[in-house]
Amino acid sequence: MSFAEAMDMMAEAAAGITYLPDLGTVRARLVDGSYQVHDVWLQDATVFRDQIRRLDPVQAVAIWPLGYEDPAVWDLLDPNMSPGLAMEVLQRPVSLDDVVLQSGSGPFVTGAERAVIGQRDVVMDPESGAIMSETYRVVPRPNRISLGGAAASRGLHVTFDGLPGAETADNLLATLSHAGVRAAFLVDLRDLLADDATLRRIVAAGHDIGLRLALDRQPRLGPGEDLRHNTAQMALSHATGMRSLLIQPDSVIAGRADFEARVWMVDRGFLVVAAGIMAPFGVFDPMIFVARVRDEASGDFSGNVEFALGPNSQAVTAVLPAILSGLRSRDSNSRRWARRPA
Amino acid sequence: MDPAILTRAMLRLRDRLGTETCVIGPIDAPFWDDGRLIESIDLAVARAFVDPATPTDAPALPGWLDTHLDRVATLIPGDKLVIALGRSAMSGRADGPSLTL
Repeated sequence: MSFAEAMDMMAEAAAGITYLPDLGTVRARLVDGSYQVHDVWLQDATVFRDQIRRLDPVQAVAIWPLGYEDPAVWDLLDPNMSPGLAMEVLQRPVSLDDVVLQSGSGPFVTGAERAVIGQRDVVMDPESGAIMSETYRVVPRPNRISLGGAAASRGLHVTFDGLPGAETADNLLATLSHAGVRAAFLVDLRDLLADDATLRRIVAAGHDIGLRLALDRQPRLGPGEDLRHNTAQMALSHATGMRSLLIQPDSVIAGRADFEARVWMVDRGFLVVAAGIMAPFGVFDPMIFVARVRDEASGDFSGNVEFALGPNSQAVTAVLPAILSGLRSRDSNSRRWARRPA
Repeated sequence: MDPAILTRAMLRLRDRLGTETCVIGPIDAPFWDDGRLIESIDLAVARAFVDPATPTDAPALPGWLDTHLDRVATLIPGDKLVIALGRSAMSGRADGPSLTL
């Protein structure tokens, strides 16, 4: 693990970071998502300084592995480095701005966060030059991008119209997790404002949030849509810390205005969620629906199977396991499931 | 590894390819004691850290480091010796032996 990856992990987990002089290393202790305690041994620039002071000043040194190091180690390689100058180097802001960490996969950038400049506080014995302590007042982070989007291959994707009710959210998320399906939940501003707790749980479970957008039926789209859309994005960002690339218009393409609406969204870099195969409202026979999806998706189909939630949450939760199982069975002629909606 | 075999291999490499040779190994490796091996190579890179068996073991304890730095400094001429420092970061469950490297 590189210094940048380790720092990012520590910042994410709010790890406790301690320099241990007796062990000659920095140890960070953190709790992961499964509540397991992890130790991270970190050879940062402070540890590096403590090691090179033990060497002959002209000793040839290699940094191992190259590219994984704390950037400050390069400034510490000066053979004439005094303890005072080393302190000055170690107290400088720690920038990982030339590193970009990537998470997820797919052709679209779904999130980006800028690097955070870190700051460490180091205490050094002025006589021996030994490091006494080190803390990170601000843990540095590299630039981060998250990727997503449907694979280039065609496939079926699961989307939900609205949010599940609080009483059914657990079952629904467990069903998706059990089936290994990553879904998209398409919400409007009312959903965003009404139930941000469920929204956060959905995001935490690794699913995507898309915005449903009501468009004016006018040939020229303009400030009205921008304002409406921006308000929804702000509400989503407020609730989850992220914005969405997925947009579902509230209409099928019925004319020039609806076509222009798609162009308006694509021009702004959004992924338009196309209308797909809609599941019936209420309780229905899941096997009949599976057969219908197989029939409609037998060609070069690329789209979504959509389930309406809201008051329909319990009915969807009841039939979803059988549908997912049926669509993934060996004799299914549907396309493979992609990890992201298109 | 038997230092004699390593020495023969390094000599052959140098003789047949006419190129410089380098051995990279742990700083506490026994083969640094073999004078013929050191004589036969152009560069010796001693990795001054260990891969800890469990997360409770630090990668380069100061006492261990000092001992082996002194040792290789006496065994390997200064113009051949390179000390590899670093090892970036390692993580593992605090209560288990598994590590993510």
